[in-house]
Amino acid sequence: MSYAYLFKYIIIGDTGVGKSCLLLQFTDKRFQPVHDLTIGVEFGARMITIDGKQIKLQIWDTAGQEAFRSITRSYYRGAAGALLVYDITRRETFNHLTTWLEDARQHSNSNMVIMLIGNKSDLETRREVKKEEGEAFAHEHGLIFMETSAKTAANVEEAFINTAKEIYEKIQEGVFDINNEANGIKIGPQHSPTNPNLPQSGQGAGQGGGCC
Amino acid sequence: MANSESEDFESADEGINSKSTEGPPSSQMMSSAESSALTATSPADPGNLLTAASKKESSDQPHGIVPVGPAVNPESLGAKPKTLQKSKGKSYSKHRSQRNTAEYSDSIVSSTNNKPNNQAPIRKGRIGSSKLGVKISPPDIVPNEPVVSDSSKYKDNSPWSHDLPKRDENKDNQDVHDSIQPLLDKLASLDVVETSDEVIDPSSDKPVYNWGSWGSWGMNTILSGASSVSSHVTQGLSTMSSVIESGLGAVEPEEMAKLTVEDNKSVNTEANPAFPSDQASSSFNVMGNVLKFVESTGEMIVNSGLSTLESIGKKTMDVLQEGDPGLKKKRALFSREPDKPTLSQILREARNRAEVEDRERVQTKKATRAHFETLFDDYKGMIHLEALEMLSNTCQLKLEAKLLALSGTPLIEFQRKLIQIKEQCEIPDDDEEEEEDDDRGTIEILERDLTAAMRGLLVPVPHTKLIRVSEDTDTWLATMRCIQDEDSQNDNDEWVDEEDASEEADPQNALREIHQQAIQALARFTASVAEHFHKTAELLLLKEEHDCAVECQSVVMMTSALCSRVSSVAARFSELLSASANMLDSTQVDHNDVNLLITNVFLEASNSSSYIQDASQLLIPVLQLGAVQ
Repeated sequence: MSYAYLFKYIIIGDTGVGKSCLLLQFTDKRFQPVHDLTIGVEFGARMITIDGKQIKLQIWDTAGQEAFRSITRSYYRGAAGALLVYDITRRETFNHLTTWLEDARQHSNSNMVIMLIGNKSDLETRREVKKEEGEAFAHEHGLIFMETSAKTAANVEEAFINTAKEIYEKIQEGVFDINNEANGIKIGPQHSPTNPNLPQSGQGAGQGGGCC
Repeated sequence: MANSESEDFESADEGINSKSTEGPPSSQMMSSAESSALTATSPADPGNLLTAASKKESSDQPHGIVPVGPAVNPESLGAKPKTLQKSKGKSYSKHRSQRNTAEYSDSIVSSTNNKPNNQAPIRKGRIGSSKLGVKISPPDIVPNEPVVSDSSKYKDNSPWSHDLPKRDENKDNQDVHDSIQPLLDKLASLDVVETSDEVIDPSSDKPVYNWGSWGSWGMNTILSGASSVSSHVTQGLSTMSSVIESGLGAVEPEEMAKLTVEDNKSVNTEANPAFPSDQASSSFNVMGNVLKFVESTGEMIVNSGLSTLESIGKKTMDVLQEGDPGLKKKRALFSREPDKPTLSQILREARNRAEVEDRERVQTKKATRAHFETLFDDYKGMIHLEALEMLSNTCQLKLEAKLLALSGTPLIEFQRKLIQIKEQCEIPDDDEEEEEDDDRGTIEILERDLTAAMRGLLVPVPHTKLIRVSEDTDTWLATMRCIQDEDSQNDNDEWVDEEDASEEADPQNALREIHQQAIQALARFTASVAEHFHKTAELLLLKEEHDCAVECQSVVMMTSALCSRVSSVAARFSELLSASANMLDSTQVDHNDVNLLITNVFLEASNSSSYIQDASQLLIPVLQLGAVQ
């Protein structure tokens, strides 16, 4: 229940690359071959342990459809980590990575850790994008790279946890200002908060003022 | 009584002594009926008396034998031996020798001349008693060998025939003994043979017999006691090595040997009083014998116990010193440095720490269970609200950007439109809709209003989740009410129920459970509302065409319906709480606590309504953006 840090993740990428499946595999450890189209954003959360500290990962699984692009852009803000997902069996999802990356860089803080994920690694026979291509793209843009399979759960844990480790290291290095919630990092509650009569939504109103 | 009896016997003895020499014929006639061997010596009148007595006693004999050693009558032990000891006269030894010869050669029970027979029966008694001892005691407790050695010692008569007369210093006894020595030896051998059929022992035998059995009884008791003690020791030290066990086992023969010596002594000391006419000293001697038994066996037990302990100790030291010569390591272990914390200290600190942690955990668990914010967060209400807020902010920014781009009349028009939408989205006060309070908050009304609102907003957001959550809450409330009704019926029947009496803390817990359920229901519902508004906002942004007035109206209607639902749920939970509290004894429930719980439910309900209204207010920029596009 209580955690040392809360990291906000955002999963982005073309529709049908398996973003929601990756989340489901990570949070529920199960695979759902047919998934409803995500409307706007869905949420998932899981507790992990890094360096003996409990870290809550709050994952925003965005809709990949082009129609939601304007909406999902709103959610980039305040993410500490992003999983940029493409489908190794569909070259166009790989080709769209640059746009996604631009969006992510534009609408989030510059220190955001981005993990490039080539999903559906179980479908080796239908592979269109070589692993080397993904590695090259990641290297070029300073991303972490991994090929995963939401179906077989291969590298799914690692993808999420390695991202968290990277964020944690940045915190240790002092790159992230953990007191600024816009960085997507919250310090865990030290004690149970008292019942506020006013909802918390009020304080968030001023938060959005800085960005256009 | 004992004295008078003994005197009687003494006089009888005198009579015998005097009359035996005379030998009246009348007595012979009388005693001939008894036995041919006795007639020659037995006196007339006392013989008459004694034959009667012997008759009686011989008839009693089976009783005297059957109840062996321990069963011997204490009275016979006390009184009769004295008479015997008294009975030794000057002529007795002669008589005895004659009597003995006659008696044993004929193997006939001596009846009248019991006094002169004194010595032989004593021996016989001894052997008999030891035989008895063998009979009564289980073979494992008293082995046979000592008895055999016992009898063999009697056989050679060394302690008896030589020592006793010397000690007694009886003038003529020495000569008599010397003369009768072969006879005695013969007797002893006969004795050993004869002991097989004890039943023939006469009245004269019996007292002596009792003495012997008394001694052996004591011995046997002590012996069995000792062996049982040693067996207990062995049992207790079952882990001991076989060496020690065998050591313990080896004690037993020693024990037996000692006891045999004691036995001999006892015979001596028992036999001794037969010569001096001192009753008191004899009884003291008996006591002394018993004491000696106790002393020797006690000594033996202590000795064997000490040796056992010693060997255990040695073994323990050996084990301790194994691989640790001089016990250096172990000593270092126990003599810790003073600054180092002791084990007990560490344990105490650890326990205290654990207690504090446990308390904190329980507190946080309790807090989270009934904490609205935490539950709201758990049901993902907070994150949806956050996402909605982000969307709203984005829309607000876009509107501001548009405002900046406009100027003049279009700007005024734009601003007027924005204000109009905002006014349309104003949520009317609850007071205005008081009239339909009864219906509001039910699932039917909620569903009706939500369906209407969604039709007005024209967004495909399903409100099934909201309805499902509401249904769950209603089901729980209905179940609780049913239980309560049953309880109240039961209360009328039998108020003092056993369960009520036994579960003191239960009523308070039941109230807390209701409170917790209330908070949970409110949090879950509010979270669903936040999600619903969030999705609505997302889909409103995707919508191409907007009818602002209808949209605003729908949002207001939806908000009102949801807030009414929240109030209704809170009211029903509060009713349940107060009803539950009223059902219980005022002594069992602190009504201040109940009021606090009810107040808290209403507080969280208003909190929930605030979230809902805030969420609806967050929709305004979305609606405004739609209106101006």
